[in-house]
Parts: sequence; C-alpha cells; structure tokens
Amino acid sequence: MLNKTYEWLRIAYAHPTDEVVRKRQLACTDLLGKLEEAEDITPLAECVAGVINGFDNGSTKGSEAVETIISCIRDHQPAFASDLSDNALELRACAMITLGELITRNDEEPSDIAVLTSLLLISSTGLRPTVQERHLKIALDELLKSARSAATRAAVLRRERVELDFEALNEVTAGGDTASLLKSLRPALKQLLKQLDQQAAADREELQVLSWLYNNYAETVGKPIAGLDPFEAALCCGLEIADLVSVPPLEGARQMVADAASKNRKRTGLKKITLAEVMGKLSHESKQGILPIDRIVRKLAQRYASLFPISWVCLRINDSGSPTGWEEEFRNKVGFAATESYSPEEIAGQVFSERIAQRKCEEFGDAE
Amino acid sequence: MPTGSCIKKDCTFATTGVCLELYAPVTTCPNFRSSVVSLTDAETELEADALPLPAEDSTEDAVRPTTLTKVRRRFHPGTELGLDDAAELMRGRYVHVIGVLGQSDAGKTAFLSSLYLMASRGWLKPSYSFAGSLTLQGFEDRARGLRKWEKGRLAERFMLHTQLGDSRRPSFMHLALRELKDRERHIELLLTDLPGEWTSRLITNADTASRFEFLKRADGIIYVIDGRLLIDSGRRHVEIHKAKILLSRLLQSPLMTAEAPLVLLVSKCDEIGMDVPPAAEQIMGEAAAIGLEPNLIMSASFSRSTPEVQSGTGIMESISRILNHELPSSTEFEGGIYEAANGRLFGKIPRR
Repeated sequence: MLNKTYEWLRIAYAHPTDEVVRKRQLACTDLLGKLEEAEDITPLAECVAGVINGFDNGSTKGSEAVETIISCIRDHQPAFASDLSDNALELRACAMITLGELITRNDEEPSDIAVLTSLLLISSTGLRPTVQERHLKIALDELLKSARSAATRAAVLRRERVELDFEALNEVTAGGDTASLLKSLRPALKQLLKQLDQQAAADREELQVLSWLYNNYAETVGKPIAGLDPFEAALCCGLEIADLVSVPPLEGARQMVADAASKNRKRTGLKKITLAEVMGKLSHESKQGILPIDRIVRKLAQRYASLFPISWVCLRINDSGSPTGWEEEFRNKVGFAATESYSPEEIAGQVFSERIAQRKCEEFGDAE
Repeated sequence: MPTGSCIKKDCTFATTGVCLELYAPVTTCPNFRSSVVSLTDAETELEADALPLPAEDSTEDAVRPTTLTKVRRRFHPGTELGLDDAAELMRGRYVHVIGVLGQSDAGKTAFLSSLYLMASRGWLKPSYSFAGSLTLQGFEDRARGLRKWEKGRLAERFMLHTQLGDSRRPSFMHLALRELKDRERHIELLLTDLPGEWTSRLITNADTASRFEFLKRADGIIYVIDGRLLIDSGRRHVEIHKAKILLSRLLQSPLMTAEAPLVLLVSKCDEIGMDVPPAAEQIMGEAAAIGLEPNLIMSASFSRSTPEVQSGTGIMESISRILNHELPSSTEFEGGIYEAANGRLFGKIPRR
C-alpha cells in the first residue's frame, strides 16, 4: 500500500523523512511493475516469503528478490547498502508496501495476481506465532487483513448469482443467411453459456462439499473420519475439502473445515500438541496425500518452507525417508520452532490454506 | 543559539536560551560550557596516493600497487547514538525503541545506568543476558558518579545532568539482550536519554511536541516520576497535574496511541518505603480517564536501603512489560453473517 509508505517505513526508521518516503514509493512502484511482468511467480513467492520471515534468514537470503528490491531502490537512491546486515528490515518494509499495493489496488475486482498473493500470505501466516515486534506486527496484521479481504471479495465475485443476460440474444433477428445468423448469435450464446457455467460451478461446489461433509469419509486414507486420530482427520478434512472448493474459497468454507475436524470429538482429543507430535500422528498415506503433485508447486514448497510449512515437512520426511531430524532445518527456514502447539482445527485450517494457495499457483504455470 | 550548557544550578539557558545572569552573548558567562564537538557524525577519510614505483632500472618486475580509494566511514563514538546512527541500526534488524521521559532529577539516567550495571553483572538472568552495546562508553560515563562516595554512602547527587551533543535532536543508548527462554529472541533496545527540560517543555508548551516525533516509532514509553515528590504534600498535586498534562499531550499530539505500552515508573522508592503512593494511584486514574492503561512499577535504581530494597528493583520489569506487551490481533475474521451475493446460504458464517 503506497499510502502506507510512511507508517510502514517506520519499522526501519525512527523518523522517515519526506525524501526517503518519496524515494521508497518510487522504488516500490518499480518493484510492483517487475512482479507483475515477471515470467513466473518465483519473484512474487520470494517476496511473500521475505515479508513473512525476513530476507536475512531461511531460503530468501541471497535470493533474486533481494537483488531486485535493492536494484529498484538504487534506481532512485544509488547510495544504498547491499549488505543484508545493513538493510534487511528496510527491504522487508519495501516488500510489504509493494505487496500491499498489489493486493489493494483494485478493491472492487482483485486481479488474479492479487488473489495469488493474498492466498500465499494466508498460507504463510497460519501457523506462525504472534509477532512480538510492535510496529512490524501492526503492519503485518494490516497486510494480512487486506489479503483476506481481497481473497474474500474475489470469492464472492466468482460465486455471484447473476441475472442471465438475454438482451444480446433478444437482439439477434432471423433473416439473412445462416452464416450471418451464426455470427451474430455466437457471442450472445457464449456469454450466456459462460454465465451458466459459472453458476453451475458454484452450485456443484456446494453439493460436493455438503456431500463430503455428510459422508464424512477420508478418501486419502480410505477410512471414516470419525475413526481417525483427530490430527489425521484434520489433515484429511483440510486436504479433501480444499480439493473440492473453487479457488479462492469463501471464508465460510474455512470455517466448515475447522468444524469438520473437531465435530463429535472429546475435548481431550482436541488438545493442542506440537507440530513435531502432529507429524508423528500422521500415517504414511496422509503424509503422501498432502505432497504437491504439480512439479512447479512441489519445487516452490521445497524451496520456500515459510509459504507451505506443513507441505514442506511432509516433503522433507518423504525425501529423507526419516520421520525425524527435520526440526532444526524447519526452524532455520521458517523462523519458528516445531515445538509450537496447535489444535486439530488449526492444523485443518492450515492444510486447507496451503492446498488452496498451491492450486492457485498451478494456474500460473511454469515457475522455472 | 550556541550549543552548550550552564553549570550554574537552575540557570534557564537550557530552556530559554537566555543566561540567568544576563551575560550576552552567553558564551561570555563564566558558568557556560560549550559542547564538546559531537563525535556522532565523525567521519574518517582514508586517502592515499599510489605508492611510488620501484626505480626504472630495477631488475624486478615493477608491480603497481592498487591505489587506495577514498573511503568514507562512520565510526560510532560509543557515547550515544543520534537519529542517523539509530537509523543505520534499525534498517538492518528490528529495534525496540523505548522513550524514557521524565522531568529533571526524576531518575531517568539512573534508570539507564542501573539497567546497564545489571546487564554487565549478569543480573538480568534468568530471563535475559547481555548481548552487547554500541554505547558502552556512554553507559560508563553515566555511571561514573556512582564511584564517588561521601562518608561511605552514595552522594546525594550521583548522576550528571544529561546534556545532548545536539540540543535539538534526541540521543539514544543502545543495549542488546538475548532472551533465555520462550523464543530466545535477540533483542535490540534503543533507549532515549533526554534532558529533563525536554519533558518539562513538552508539559508547558505543546509546540515542542515536534521534537518528539521519534516517539511515534517507540515500542513503549517509560514515564519516570520521582517517588519522593509523590509523597510530598506540598508538591504531589503539582506532579499529578503535570503527569496529567504530559499524558494528554502525548495522546493528542499524537505521539502515541492508547494501545502503546506505557509504564509509569515511580523512582527512588527505597526512600519512600516501596508502598504505592496515593498520588501514583491518582495519576493512574487520570491516565485511565483519557483511555490509557499504564503499568505502575515501583523502582529503585540505586537503593540506599539495602538489603530491604535491592538496587535495580523494578528496572528490568519495566523493560519486560514493554517487550512482552500483548497487542490485540486484528486479523481474525470478525464473523457475523457473511452474505454471499444474491442470498446463497453456502458460506454464511453464523454469529457465534
């Protein structure tokens, strides 16, 4: 959000001057252009990871995003340090401003890339402990709120039950040859069919999700949900409902996932446990179920653990063949420990968010 | 206005720029001391011409050495950090800025010195350990007065009156801590050390609020009030009134928001028995009336009543309150009835 440049730059400056604010706004505008024109979503994914976890640790250290942001800043202020120890937090603030602007630029109808950014932010923040740095927290909260708002708005637009447009069809008159008739009829028919298809997709989503909830059966492991360990059930709920809904989902779907994970469970079964313990409770089949199939998404998940933390852990366990030993690497890459505790609802929500974000990534094609 | 200070007690030069004894210019006054040239912006230039080549008839191959280029480098003098130095630090990693306010002799510098000495002695454990400082010399200079004893006791006045290198800009003391539990964070602190006159002027003149702009970036504010004044029947009402004005001014300027962590640090409590003075409760009430929720902490930076009251009481607690202040989360979905367009029931979230 360019209009928040002064407030968000305060993360890195005690008192940002007008000149600094002006230069950073220009730099962020340039960065926004580069993200939108990029051939793949890797720079965007790196920016999101850097905003969430900082650019001076994890997998974003020395990344292309760092070079790009520094380059954009240097275009307007050549005397800018390139050492992350001198500028990491400022780069983070600039990336936040840029992503905020990307998300909020068209509130009424968020663009595809705005929706992708929003879903990546939601996926990245689900498991993270609360930020304790005050001004950083205020800015991140505001960014995340905008992300959820944009995703929700896009979800509503996708499911809007519109009045079918017969006006164009009514204007088509008989007469003339068949070719002319088809030429005038085709666009009107296409428009109508598109509207019908959109509404059918929304109706189908509702039926499928409700059927799944009624059946209460986990296809991933081939067992009824009620018979599964609460955390395994949570993973299956999050995963399978995410595969049924249209992207982006309505906020209500997220709530349904949480409810499905906790329904009819004893309170003791819903107690929070650490992420390491959660992984210990998951079967091989469920861990396999969450692994991204798409090659590009799989690469993103392996490279940027902070974007898809649960997917990263499952990939890591799958690649190493060992259920343990990932905890230290996890901490280094995502910035928090596997000893943080979560409830089944939180795990279900996180798996849901990761899968949704991954599905959106697939729409953007090659990330090489 | 010449930069410097007057060593004569109660001279108004610091606040009005006018010598109490009407020396004009003020530099002619025998009590006036010019500021030492600030080393905050010290720069060193390294410049060298290329070394002379060996003689032409040398049998050895002549190797032209690399010419040293000019390097502009800023070295921290170690006394205090200005806004520019603070900015250099803040651009690299998150720094917790803590504004320490209070009138002259309230105990602000004693607070900083006590914090430093506790850190250097390892007395911050088990919660924190000392992890470095860019202003070690500044802390040492401030603590120097503690080494002067009068008849086996601390001098009545053992802290030097705070003077700024640049009287118009704030200065900061830096302290890095390592959290020893929970998330084991590395914490950088920048604490202001402002002359009491700054706070006094803010109370009497709202126009001076602009010099406190940096407080908008503060992670918390510690307002230090001399505990002895709060039990003095002749002065406590004035202190309550001043506190009320200051807090209102901070909120209205606005230099802080109502949600920002605020600590009301009552100092020199070893001399008033560690009981919370009713005047302090009144100040809390005034704060609550304008929407603030300060934490009241009784402190004794350097106790004259050991072992009943230990030196350093309340010091680290005030810092911890700011570092661990829980901010409300504003990202939770607010719930309520969520209307998908045109009355779809799917996706509605009932209000719980």
